[in-house]
Formats: sequence, C-alpha cells, structure tokens
Amino acid sequence: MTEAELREKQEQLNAILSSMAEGLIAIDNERRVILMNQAAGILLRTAPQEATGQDIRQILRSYRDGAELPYKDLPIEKAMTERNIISVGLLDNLSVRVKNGRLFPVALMIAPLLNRGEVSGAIILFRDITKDKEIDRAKTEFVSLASHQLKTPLSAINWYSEMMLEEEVGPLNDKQKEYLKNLYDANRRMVELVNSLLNVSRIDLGAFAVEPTPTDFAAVADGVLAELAPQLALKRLHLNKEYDPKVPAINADGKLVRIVFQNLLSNAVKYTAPGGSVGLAIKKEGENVLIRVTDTGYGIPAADQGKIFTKLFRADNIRDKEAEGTGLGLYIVKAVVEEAGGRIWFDSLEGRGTTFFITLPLAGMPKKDGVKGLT
Amino acid sequence: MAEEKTRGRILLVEDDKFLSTALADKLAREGFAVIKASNGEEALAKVRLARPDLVLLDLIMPQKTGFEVLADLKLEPSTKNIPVIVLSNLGQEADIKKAKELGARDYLVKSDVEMKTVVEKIKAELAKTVQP
Repeated sequence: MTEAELREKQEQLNAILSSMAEGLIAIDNERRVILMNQAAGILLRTAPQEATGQDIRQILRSYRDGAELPYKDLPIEKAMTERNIISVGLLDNLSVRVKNGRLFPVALMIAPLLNRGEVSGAIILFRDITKDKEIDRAKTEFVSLASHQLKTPLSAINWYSEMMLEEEVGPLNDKQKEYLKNLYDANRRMVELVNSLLNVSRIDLGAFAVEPTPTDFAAVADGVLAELAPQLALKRLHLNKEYDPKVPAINADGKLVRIVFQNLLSNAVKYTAPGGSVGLAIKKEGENVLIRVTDTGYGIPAADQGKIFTKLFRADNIRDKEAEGTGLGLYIVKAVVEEAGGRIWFDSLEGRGTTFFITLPLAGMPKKDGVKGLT
Repeated sequence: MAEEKTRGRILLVEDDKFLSTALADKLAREGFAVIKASNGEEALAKVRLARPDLVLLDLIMPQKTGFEVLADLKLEPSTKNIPVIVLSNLGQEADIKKAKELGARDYLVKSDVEMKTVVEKIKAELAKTVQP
C-alpha cells in the first residue's frame, strides 16, 4: 500500500468514526483510552484528544440509582474478563456522569478486543437514551391509565348483571338467566384479561415491584383453591393436597405467590377433563420450597412444549377445548418465579397430564422497587 | 318514625354515574338511606351537612381526590370518627397502604368485588361502630 493509499484509508476511517451518531471509545488492556470519536466527545463533554491516554474509569463514570458503580461491577470489566459482548439497555438503569456533573441515561454495547486470542482491550459503543426513557415512562403511564379507565365500565357491567342475576329487580326466565350469566362470566374474563395485560406490560417494562413479607404458602394456596372450589365440584375433580409442615413462612411477596398458585391451579382445573384429578404439593427441599402441581389433564403436545412460556401462546390441543385462557398466565408465572430467584419446569404427556414444578429459595424474594406491583 | 328505621345513612362518593346508580339502588334496597356526592368537594360539604354513619369513597375524582377527602375528614374532630370504606379501581399495595394510613377502615377494588360483598363490609363496619 502506498503512502497516499494509506492516508486515504485513514481519512475514510476518520470520516466513518466522526459521522457516527453513537459514541465510540476504544481502550487498551490497561483500560486506557486509545481512541474516542466526536460523538463520544460531545456526549461526555470531553475533547477526544484530551481523553486519549486517560483511564476509562475517569472518563466513563457509571451510576445506578444515584450511586457510582464500583469498577469491578462495570460492564466493561465484565466484557473483558468474560470475553463476551455485553449490552446494557433501557431496563438496566445505568447513567453516565459527564464533566459538568450532569447524569444521562445510557445504553452501552461493549465488545472485548481480541488479538490472537488474547484480550487486548475493548470497544465501547454508547448513546444517550433520555428520549427512550421518556417514551418508556409515557407508555407505562398510558397502560396504567387505560387499564384503570377500562375497569370502570367493566365494574358497572359486573354490578348490574349481578343485581339482575340475583333477581333483585324482578324474576327472570331460564333463558334470560342463562344469557345474563354468560354476560357476567364474559365480563369477569375481561377483568382478568385487563389485569393480565397490565401485569405483562409491567413485566416487559421491568417495572413491577416485589414487596416481601412473611408469607404462608399453604394458606395462599388454600385461598386460591377455595376460589376454584365451584369449578372443581362442577368437573367432579379429585383434589390431592400434600403440605409439608416443615415449610416455614417465607419472606415473599404474597401477591406474587398468589399469582403463581392461581395460574398453575386454574390451568390444572381448566385443562383436565371431568372426573380427573388435580394435585398440589408444597415441600421443603434443601434450601428451597418446591411447589408441584399435577393434573391428569389433556397434557401439552410434544411439539408445543418449547413454547408454552411464550407470551400469548396456547397449545393446539386445548384451543378447541377451552375458549377461556389468554396465553399470558405461564408467561407471567415464569417472569415472577425468575424475578424471585426461582426455577420453573414441567413434565407432560399429551392425553395423560402435566406436572409443573417450581422451586423458590426459602431465604425469600429480594425486595425490588418498581413502578407498580402486579395484580 | 318510619324513615328513622333505616340501617344507617351512607354517603356514597362516586363520580361515575353508572356505578353511582348501581350502588345507590343496591344500598337503598338493602334498607340504607343514601346520600350521593360526585366529587371530593361535594363529599366534604355533604359530610358536614348530613352526618352520615359511613362514607363509601372513590379515589380518583375531580375536585379533590379520595385521598384528600380522607385526610380532611380525619383532621376534623367532628368527622374523624365516621368510618370510611374506600371503593376504587386503584388496586396497588401502595394505594391501599396510603388509604389505610389515612384512616380508611377497609379497601375494596371495584372490578374485583361483588356488590354483595360491598354491602356485607358496610354492615360489618356499622355493626362495629354504631353501638348504642
């Protein structure tokens, strides 16, 4: 390559770097800045020439919840030690402090720089996500406002149909009763759907709160079973309960625990043919509590088993049998269990039944502040 | 004499007219005397005038929210002992905690509660407080 060609290449490279909207910083193995583009300079209020040679820890100071992150917790260090590309997004709530003291929310992508298999530095790509944050907040507010507004007319339908069904304003013939009952039931499903959608949006936004208090899992489960008693009776389902007295009260968010039991048990009832059985066990297993929900129901077809925790997914074999069901329940349960540091899995055979297993640490759920709790 | 034989006087504070009508009709059929208010200011004025035995209170309303109404009621010696049951579609733990801290006796979520239950809760509160 001639000198002129080399210069042209260099200019091309400079043009690319300075035209980028994202900030780009390259560091060496000693965490010193070897290159910084113009966008990075503008975002950090630091001239690229001035930054060169400086320690990245002084240039890109990261904060979460108002406190500066210790360097070992920084994604840069993680990317370099784990030799992995790390991305930090909207939900990670990371901010960067610029020279004049201002903090801005940041999204980052960090790639280790590998030279003959050795880490020789890293490339950091970042941008200011103030706008994204604003949109995110507007979305959360919209969802909660919309759901609140939806609930008002739904409550009205509930109450008027309840009064008519109770024949408070005059007798009904059988057909009228049947139709009103359908109206009432459909409306109850709508309320549940609104609650589920609200929960999903909070999960997707990473915005749900966890408020642990000592919770008796068996009592929560019994509460849910009491609500399901009419359906259990209607389908003549046999119920087996197995509560281990060694399970202590666990420091968990009672509402979240209820969501877990409610979804798993109502699924078991819903997807089991009349005359079948449903089982619930709550046991102590080492450092965990194990929850096992068994049914002798329709089962999950092998082809669908990989997808059942996916949002809005419903297995082929039950879509015809059960009109009720949103495809949101297991998605919510999995998010809750994982947030709580637990695990969920299942065994299922089509036509024979399904068993769900959940483990949650006896040590309880870590507290998490969020915009809203799940309902 | 006959008009005194009600189960008690309820101030119903609700800005949605469908919900307000449903509740007022139900409570009247259950034998309560019902006074209606459709915003926070009106609620406070009617509490002072009508001295209800219990207030059934919505939270999201124009001209003073239910939270503000609760706080005002609890500040005034003459109204602070009137039991208040909140009936709202806000169902968050934080809302419930706030209302209870402000002195609400009970908290019901509209979309999750049957009217039967609303009536039972009112009766239970009155049984506790309206002792001769």
